[in-house]
Amino acid sequence: MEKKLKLKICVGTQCYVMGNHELKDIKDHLPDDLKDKVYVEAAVCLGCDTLKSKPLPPYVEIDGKLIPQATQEKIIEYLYSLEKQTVR
Amino acid sequence: MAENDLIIEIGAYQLNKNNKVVCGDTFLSKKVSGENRYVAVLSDGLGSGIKANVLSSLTASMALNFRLHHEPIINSAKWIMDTLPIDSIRGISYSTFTIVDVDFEGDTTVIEYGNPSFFIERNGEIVNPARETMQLNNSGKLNELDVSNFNLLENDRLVMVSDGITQSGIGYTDMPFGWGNKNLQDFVIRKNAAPLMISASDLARAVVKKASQNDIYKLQDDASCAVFFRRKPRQLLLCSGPPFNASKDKFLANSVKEFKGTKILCGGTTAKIISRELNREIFPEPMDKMIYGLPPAFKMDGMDLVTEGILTLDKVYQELKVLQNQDIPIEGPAASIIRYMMNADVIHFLVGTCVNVAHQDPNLPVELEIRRNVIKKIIRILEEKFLKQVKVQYL
Repeated sequence: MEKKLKLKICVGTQCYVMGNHELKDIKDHLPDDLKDKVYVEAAVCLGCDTLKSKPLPPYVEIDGKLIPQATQEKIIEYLYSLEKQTVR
Repeated sequence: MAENDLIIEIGAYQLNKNNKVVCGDTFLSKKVSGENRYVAVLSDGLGSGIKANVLSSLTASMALNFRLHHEPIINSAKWIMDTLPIDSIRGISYSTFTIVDVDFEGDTTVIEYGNPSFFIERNGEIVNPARETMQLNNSGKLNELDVSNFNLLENDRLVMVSDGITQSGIGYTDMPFGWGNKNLQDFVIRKNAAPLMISASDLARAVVKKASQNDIYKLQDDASCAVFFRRKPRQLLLCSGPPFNASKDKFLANSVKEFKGTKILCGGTTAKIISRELNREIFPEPMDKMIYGLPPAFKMDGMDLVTEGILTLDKVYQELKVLQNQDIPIEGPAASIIRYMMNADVIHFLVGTCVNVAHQDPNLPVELEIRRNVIKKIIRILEEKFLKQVKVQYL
């Protein structure tokens, strides 16, 4: 079986109130072909405060890549783009 | 109070007689801070319902206040009996009382009149202190008061009950003469033998619930139980917020590490500092365990609870404000914090004063207050409403 993608959702205060509380059941909203390939967990803080630029919460992290201003659509889009890369 | 001084935990629980709206027993307790002692009274009024409630509250509050002002025992008992109104059916004025006067060193005086005799549970055995009988001449009738003086040692539990407990189950085939003193004492020993130290309030509740069960959940009399438990205080540390100066991070981590007792971390950044300084990993929570409303709790070695900061603390404050008894209606990280707080005697706050600039964004909800203010409010409630001893340190 291929390795699952790790989706970390930041539940630090700011990310939580800025939208990540809506991502808590993202697993139910993923398309069927992605569902089994993703492992979802919560994270204390992904370290956006150490970035040089102005932070843009909420953040999620997919396989080590930090995604600012995350939404459900954005996450799904990125997961598909990862899919394509691995296929190629 | 020094770190290892023993404290006295007082717990009481009451149930009304079946179909009665109020309880005919009254339990009052008061802490006399200036003299370092507690005075408590359990009184059982004649009959049941409103009448008994009036009699017993009158007795209890008089007895408590006489005792607070060091009135001689005989005089106070006489005054109480003279004051009580005479029952229209039975033609007598009557209510019972047990007064317990215990100081922080454990020196105890108990004055009993009419209630089932109290007892002490010490290391799985029942101790009955010597009693001295005092005669009281009440308008021709002779009444007897029992007075005992003794020292309450560490891990002693003093149990006193109203007759609704010892007489529960009366008339049923398995206990024709009621539950009785002996069975009650065995029950207390069994309860205390459990590996976890049962708290005074839990023991009192267990005794009363058992009595209610003896009467097939229809109590034939008001049932009350009060427990005095002398033990080491339970310590709780709640650590929240990064220190104003980053050079204090090490100090913060060490204080958390060295602390003996329950430890709670509130705040993502705080948890990260501790994790970095003590080299302990923060374990994430699988997303499906998350409860809606608050960010989920995390796990760290040596910590009892790791939660998000300001939102959780605000929820704790909102719930503490409306909390009436020990039954917490909500679930989740805030409820866990409240449960830990209710179980603790001394609560230490270690508060970092570094202000999170990101939280000052006007787009964020108003609940995102400055940490210090929320904690100040929590402390006030803990001290005034729940009578906890609170210590605060700002970093």
